[in-house]
Amino acid sequence: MIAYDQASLDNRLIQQEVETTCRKQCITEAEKAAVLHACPVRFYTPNPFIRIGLFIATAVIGVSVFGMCILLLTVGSSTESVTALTFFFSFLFYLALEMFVRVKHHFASGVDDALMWMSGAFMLSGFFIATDFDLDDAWIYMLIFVAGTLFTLRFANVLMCAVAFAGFIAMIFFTCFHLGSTAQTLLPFVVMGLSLLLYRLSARFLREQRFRHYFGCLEILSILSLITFYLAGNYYVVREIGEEMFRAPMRLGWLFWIFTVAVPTAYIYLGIRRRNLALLRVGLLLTGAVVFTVRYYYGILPAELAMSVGGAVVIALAWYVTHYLKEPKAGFTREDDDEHDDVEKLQIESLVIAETFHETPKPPQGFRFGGGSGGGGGAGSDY
Amino acid sequence: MNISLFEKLAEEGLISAASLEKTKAASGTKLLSVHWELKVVLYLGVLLLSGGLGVLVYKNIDTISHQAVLFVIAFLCLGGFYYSFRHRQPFAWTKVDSPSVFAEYAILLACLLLVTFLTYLQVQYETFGTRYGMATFIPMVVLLFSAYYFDHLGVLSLAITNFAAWMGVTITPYRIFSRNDFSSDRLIYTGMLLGLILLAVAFVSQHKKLKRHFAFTYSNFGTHILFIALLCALIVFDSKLTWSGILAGVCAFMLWQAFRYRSFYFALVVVLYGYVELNYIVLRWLETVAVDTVVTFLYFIISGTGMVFLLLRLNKTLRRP
Repeated sequence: MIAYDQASLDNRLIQQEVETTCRKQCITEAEKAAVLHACPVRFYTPNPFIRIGLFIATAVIGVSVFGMCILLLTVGSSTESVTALTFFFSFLFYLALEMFVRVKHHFASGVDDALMWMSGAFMLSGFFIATDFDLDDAWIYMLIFVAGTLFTLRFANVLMCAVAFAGFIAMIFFTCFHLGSTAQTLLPFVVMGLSLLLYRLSARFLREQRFRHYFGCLEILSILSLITFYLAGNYYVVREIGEEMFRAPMRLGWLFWIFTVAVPTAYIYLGIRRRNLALLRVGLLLTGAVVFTVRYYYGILPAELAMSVGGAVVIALAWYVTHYLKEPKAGFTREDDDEHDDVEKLQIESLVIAETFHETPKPPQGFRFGGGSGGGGGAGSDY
Repeated sequence: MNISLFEKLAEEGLISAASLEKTKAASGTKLLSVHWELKVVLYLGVLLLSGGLGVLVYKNIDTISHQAVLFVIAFLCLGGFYYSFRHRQPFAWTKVDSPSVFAEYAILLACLLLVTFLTYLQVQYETFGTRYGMATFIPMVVLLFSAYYFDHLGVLSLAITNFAAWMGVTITPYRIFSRNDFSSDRLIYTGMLLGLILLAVAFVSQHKKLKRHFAFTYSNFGTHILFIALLCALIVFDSKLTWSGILAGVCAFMLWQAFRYRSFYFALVVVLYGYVELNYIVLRWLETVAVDTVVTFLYFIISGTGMVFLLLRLNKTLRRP
């Protein structure tokens, strides 16, 4: 099913395991070298930055070849020939992708990524052009879901898996939307049920070694289904979508308030109990959604005061956890488990800090001290 | 860790029995790390608290709570510095690991609040005079000092963006284009100067071993602003030949640097900026000779293929030990 060479994929996993174990000094360098020698990986996988460059270059070439063919081959720019050419190029990119993967052994090289995305995008565009951009929502998302799933099964790409999942949820959403008011009322429960099902499935598959090459995809699937499970039951989402799209008033409001608050709490609780980082992380993330939802309907404090108080509470909480975990407790530690210095990780952290904190708060425009002008000790010449 | 895998490796004689035992022991006691979760939570807390206080200080300006807000800011700021000062490692010109995640963010919070406080003093009392420069210069010095004293990359990045702001350029990633008016030649020359200064600082910290791990941050900001300023010069100014020559020279020099430090990241950055330059020159030239659009596409196919081969080559050369 998977396009990449199975033996190399397996050996790649072995090599990764051995690298981490060697870093933790459980096995010696000589043993590591022996394992690396015994389990060779035939893939061409360049450095991640080179991968980005190759992705861009491949996309430029692909789109230019297509543009040139459009100019040279289509007669009088008829829709039929453009459609045919778009589908043909989707097929061509797919062929090239298979060739690069099977003959040249490219794996996460940027070339295979670009060809995969172009093939998918051209197929979708083909349908758009063929129907004169008059394609029903549910059909679009079904196409995305089906194509995304096939690509995921064949190339085990994590991002493609996320796209397929998004297509799936959107397909369900628009199908229910078109089915009428009963389906619209049941929509939150349908999405919640399907998300739960997908989460259970991916959690089970994650324990089975025969799906090892899809573990990345399954992990992203479980995280995304946890998020959609929450969003489908979130009061804000249900109410606003109901009013905007279905023109229906909010029903069972109390139930959705319970979901809004209880689900993240349950995630965090289960995450700690079962030592499951995905649950814990999603729970923490969604706590923000809880705060937003509550504040949207009950503006208890003015925004800046709520921010200050909330920030103080969050910092106090983090301080408590830091002290609680001075020594590892309940299987958790506050230390970084990956010792080797990850320069890129630190750089991203510092860039995020520079980006978000760059604007030091400035007074509103035209702000000048009126009123008690005698106040300032070192008043300037303006006064 | 996959124990059955290591058992198989031991069976095949690739790893010794002792190593297998060690691996088993290590996986048995494996702890889950919440290091990055704590970091993100602290980051959000600092973001909210400093942002909220920063707005609060200018609201309710005539009421008594105003003084209270100022007091809270001063208190938290001093508290943050006190905490990080007490938990600091002795200063050194090498990399000093922070004692805890909390101490790291305490410094960040203290620095941000100090900047807020200084800005407030400037706005209300014009403490640092009416000259615009001083109001951004003093926070910059404070940030720079804290970054070196407490060894904090985040604060260093803040200091660099503040330094750029002092010179009149915005260099945070998402605002570099939206906030700068790159058609003014003053800004273009300032950008070039800023880039050169930052690259020079990176060079000095690398070679004099003054906080060597800061060099990447300096050269990262410096490279981007220098290339963007040069590209703008090429597009805005009339003497195309001179500027394309200078840009090509800088590309060659930076590529050589990337080779020296074996940096895939900088190699990619140079290739991409170089490609943009090449596209600009060729497309302009094609425009003047007025050829068919097919030729333009042909150019992109050829140049894209050239870039693929260049990248494959770079990957090979940079990887070689």
